[in-house]
Amino acid sequence: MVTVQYQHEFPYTYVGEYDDYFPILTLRMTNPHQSEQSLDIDGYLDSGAKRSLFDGWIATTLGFDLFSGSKVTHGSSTGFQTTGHLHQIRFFHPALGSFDLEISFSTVEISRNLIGRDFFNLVQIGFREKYLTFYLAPTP
Amino acid sequence: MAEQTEKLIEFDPLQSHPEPPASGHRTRELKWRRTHREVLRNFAGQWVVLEGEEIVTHGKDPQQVVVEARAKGIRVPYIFYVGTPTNVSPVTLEW
Repeated sequence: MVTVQYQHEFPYTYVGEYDDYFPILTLRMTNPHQSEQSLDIDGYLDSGAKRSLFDGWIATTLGFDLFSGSKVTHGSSTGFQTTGHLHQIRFFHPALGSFDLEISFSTVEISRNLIGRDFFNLVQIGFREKYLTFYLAPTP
Repeated sequence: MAEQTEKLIEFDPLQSHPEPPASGHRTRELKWRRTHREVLRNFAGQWVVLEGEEIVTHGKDPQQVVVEARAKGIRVPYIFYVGTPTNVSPVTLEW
């Protein structure tokens, strides 16, 4: 028997595009070097994503030069590849507190911001798909 | 099996969560999104900044929408995209 305890539960968010509910976490994203530039953004919790990937316009709006970050290539299971650039972001969520994470920003438009395993490495996340609910604990 | 499928279709997560968890972020806005699907359909294909239960600004260019929201006094805009309904099923990609 393995028991994992979570302090917080959240309902999935309705996404009209797919007429369905998804495990979305709304996070505050801040440029650590320009703290007055912050946005609250939705990210899809995606355990299939090795690294978090957000749309490049977000980095620009937060005051980053998108292309100044280290370049990374992202590959998908379909063989499609796209380029991203890494930038250090300060995240905040009431249930998790504040933490910094280096994530990738795409150079092409993407339809969904993905919160990947780099984020999962910092917190504990559980899903109950049948109940369209996910759970969070602030320690991994 | 058919009965089980029917139950799943009838499941309403809003009923399961009549009040958003206190520990959430933007819970008021997320609840509004869950309960105002018809309103949001009018903004399909656009980015929307929502503050509380008010749509502050919207448009097709997210950066411009953020600029407009900040000009209206929203220090930290909550911005999200309202997609056009599609039959495409999203899949997880191994980035």
